[in-house]
Amino acid sequence: MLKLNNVTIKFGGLIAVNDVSLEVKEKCIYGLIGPNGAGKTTLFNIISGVYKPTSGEVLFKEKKISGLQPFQINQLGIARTYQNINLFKSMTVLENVMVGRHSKSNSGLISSILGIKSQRVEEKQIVEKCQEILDFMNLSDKADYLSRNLSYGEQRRLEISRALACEPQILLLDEPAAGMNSKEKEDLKDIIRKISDKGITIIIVEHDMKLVMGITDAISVLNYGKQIAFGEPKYIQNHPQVIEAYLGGSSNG
Amino acid sequence: MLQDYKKYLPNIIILFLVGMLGVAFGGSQYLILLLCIIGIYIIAVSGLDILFGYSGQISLGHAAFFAIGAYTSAIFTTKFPIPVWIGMLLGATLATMIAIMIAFPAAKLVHHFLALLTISFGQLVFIFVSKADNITNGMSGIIGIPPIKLGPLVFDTNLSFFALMLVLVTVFLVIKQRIVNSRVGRALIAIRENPHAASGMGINVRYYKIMAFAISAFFTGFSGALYAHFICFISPESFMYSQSVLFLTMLLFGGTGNLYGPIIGSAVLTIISESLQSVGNYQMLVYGFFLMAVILFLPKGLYGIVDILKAYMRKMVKKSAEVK
Amino acid sequence: MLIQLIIGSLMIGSVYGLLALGYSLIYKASGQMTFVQGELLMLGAFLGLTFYGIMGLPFLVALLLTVVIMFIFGMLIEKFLIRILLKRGATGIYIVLATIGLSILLQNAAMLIWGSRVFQFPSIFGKSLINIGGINIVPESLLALGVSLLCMVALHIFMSKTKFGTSMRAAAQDPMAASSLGINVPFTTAVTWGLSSALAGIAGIMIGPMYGVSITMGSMVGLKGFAGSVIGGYGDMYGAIVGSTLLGFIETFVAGYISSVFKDFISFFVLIVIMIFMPTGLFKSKVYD
Repeated sequence: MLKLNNVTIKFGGLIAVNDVSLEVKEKCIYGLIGPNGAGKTTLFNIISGVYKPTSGEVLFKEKKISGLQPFQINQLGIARTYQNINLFKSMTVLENVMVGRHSKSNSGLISSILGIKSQRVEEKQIVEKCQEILDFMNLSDKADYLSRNLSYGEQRRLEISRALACEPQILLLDEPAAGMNSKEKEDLKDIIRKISDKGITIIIVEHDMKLVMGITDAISVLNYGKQIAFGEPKYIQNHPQVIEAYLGGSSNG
Repeated sequence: MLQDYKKYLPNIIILFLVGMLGVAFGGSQYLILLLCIIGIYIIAVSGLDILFGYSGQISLGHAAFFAIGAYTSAIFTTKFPIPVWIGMLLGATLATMIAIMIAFPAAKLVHHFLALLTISFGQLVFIFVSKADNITNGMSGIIGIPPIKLGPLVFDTNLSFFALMLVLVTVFLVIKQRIVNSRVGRALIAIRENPHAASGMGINVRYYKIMAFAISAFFTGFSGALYAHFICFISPESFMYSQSVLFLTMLLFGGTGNLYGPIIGSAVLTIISESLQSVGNYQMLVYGFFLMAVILFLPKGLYGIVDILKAYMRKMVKKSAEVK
Repeated sequence: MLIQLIIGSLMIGSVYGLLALGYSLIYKASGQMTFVQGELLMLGAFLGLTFYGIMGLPFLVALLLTVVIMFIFGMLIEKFLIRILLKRGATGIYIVLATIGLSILLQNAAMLIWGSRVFQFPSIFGKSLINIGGINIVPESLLALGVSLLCMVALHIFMSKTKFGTSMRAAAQDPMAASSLGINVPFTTAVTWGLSSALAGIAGIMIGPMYGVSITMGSMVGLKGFAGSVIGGYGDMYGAIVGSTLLGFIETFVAGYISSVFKDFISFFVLIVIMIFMPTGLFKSKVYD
């Protein structure tokens, strides 16, 4: 579904991603792990269009998307969450999710000013759809809260809700479990599985090994921008180079 | 459908009250004139609000659009026998088109450079308007601008213009609310809050930033044309940098990103500046003072106080519920 | 005529340069934009006028006093306006607006103190003109040029060769690292603003004898100085000088050979064109989101 062919990106003299090739199959849950600074978020930024690779290409359903603008890539069906929470702070929970519906709706300036029927109907549909998503993510009781007043874990769930509103085919989750306690992580696992059950392909960057090993179908390991291993969780867990890269950190989690 | 209008009841009441004000002050030409000027500013500043309050782009040159709207309409209606309302639409449209041209490069710029660009643009338009004697009559200005005529109705008295303003201000504010409560409005706010996340959610940031400029210029340009056909005389002095600063001060003072901010800001600052007419030269001093005061003490503007009050009341209600 | 235009260009270019240096210094040191340089120039001019013209102090004393006062004033602005706003979490745009508000207040305060007419700055060298190659030149313009060059050289030496200048540059590049090295970052930032203010004050005194002193003298010149720093690449000190000189030449030659009526129009037009096509300026600064 998503293919990276020899993707490299250089920032000045620094090579952040070095000749990475990988393939993410449809409907799978794919993990991207590696020590800090390995280039995982950079890779996400390349996939979602924030950066253009210096060389190599990204193919989504066999079509080249590297070089497209982020909003175009989103419209094609890839949505993401961010390492640092990037919510729209002055909007409510519901409004944040409604922004996610942008590419699935099309009322423009004139139809909004005139308030024609199609626009009003579309607004209603947007609200309904977003409420469904909030139900799905267990946030509906907080729908009218200002997003900045939510707890940290709730904010993370809101970011995922917002991404889901895009009806993506691929969902990129950038360290969704960061700062969560174990109960929240268990809930997160359930949410990820529920999303996957809906047929959405998920790529997840994470540091929590237990979470990653427990939920993914395949994993790529990055170190210093290079892919050093790829395979199923069991294989990765015992891979010598992977263990060495983490220097006995949390790879035994 | 009628149920939707129930939530607009408070606004309708306010509108009615303002209308009553007009009847009450009917005898005083001066007060009616003041209300008309406030109305013009409300439209102009609401336009600036869409650009700055909603899409987060600063403009310190909005007097330029005010000028383009005013001068275009004035020139066309004094030189050619075209209906005033067409002249006004021409003015607003020209302002919009020029705004789109400016917005193309401007939408990419970081805010300090945008400030500089808009200041320069404002200066450019001012210099043009003051020196292009053949077209704009230079510093002498344009006199004998025809009043607004709609069929048999001629709005050449303060009171009739006030009635027209009530309608027009309502129309523009309704348009603004429709825009900001729609998908377009959400896109603008998203861009203001977090352009990267907005882009990640499928929003074409550049497109909407340019759109914000266009809408904003239309509002302010139209208000400029209104100004021209109300006072029936315009001169470059009304379109200087200080006018741009005034628009922004009114917006910041009243509060950005909401319906009432521009209204409050326009009303309060117009009344204050009129009261200071006797002090003449010190008007700008007061504006500067207000600007500083708002930035230092009231960054959310006067409307921010409403927010604080609301939060306080919610707390009190919660507290009394707990006690019970 | 050509020589006069060249001297005129260099002179006005160097005045813009002093302002532009101030803008770029502050941007480089704290990433902030300031819109108050023009009014600081005006203030410097008035202070110089007061000390030299009204109180009759010797010129050098007046100059020195003005510089010191402007320097302190700049530091006060940083400490009591900018720093407080930053502590409150104000974003850059509000700092910009604050400096705009301040510039309005300064202009009107000056009006209250000195009045709104145009004042004559008494000549420094008497009425005699200098004759260079058959052309008569007002000595004050050469003084302006000379002082500006001196300031730029002095600033260059200060920033690159002295210990304090180096720590200022360090603090500008990476405040946290500099702080952990024992550099008093708030102090260096305050000094930056003080220096910019002093430069503006000097520019004001230089320009006073030639164009008179009035409360509105700063607004246009302030914007032109800004333009100069943008053309050269905002935040780059050498760019500020190059850009300002370039602007000085464009402006003066346009006024000389085409028309002086649209002199300002041309300057702003050039600025807008540069911002559209080459906003990073000649020496590449960060301009986009």
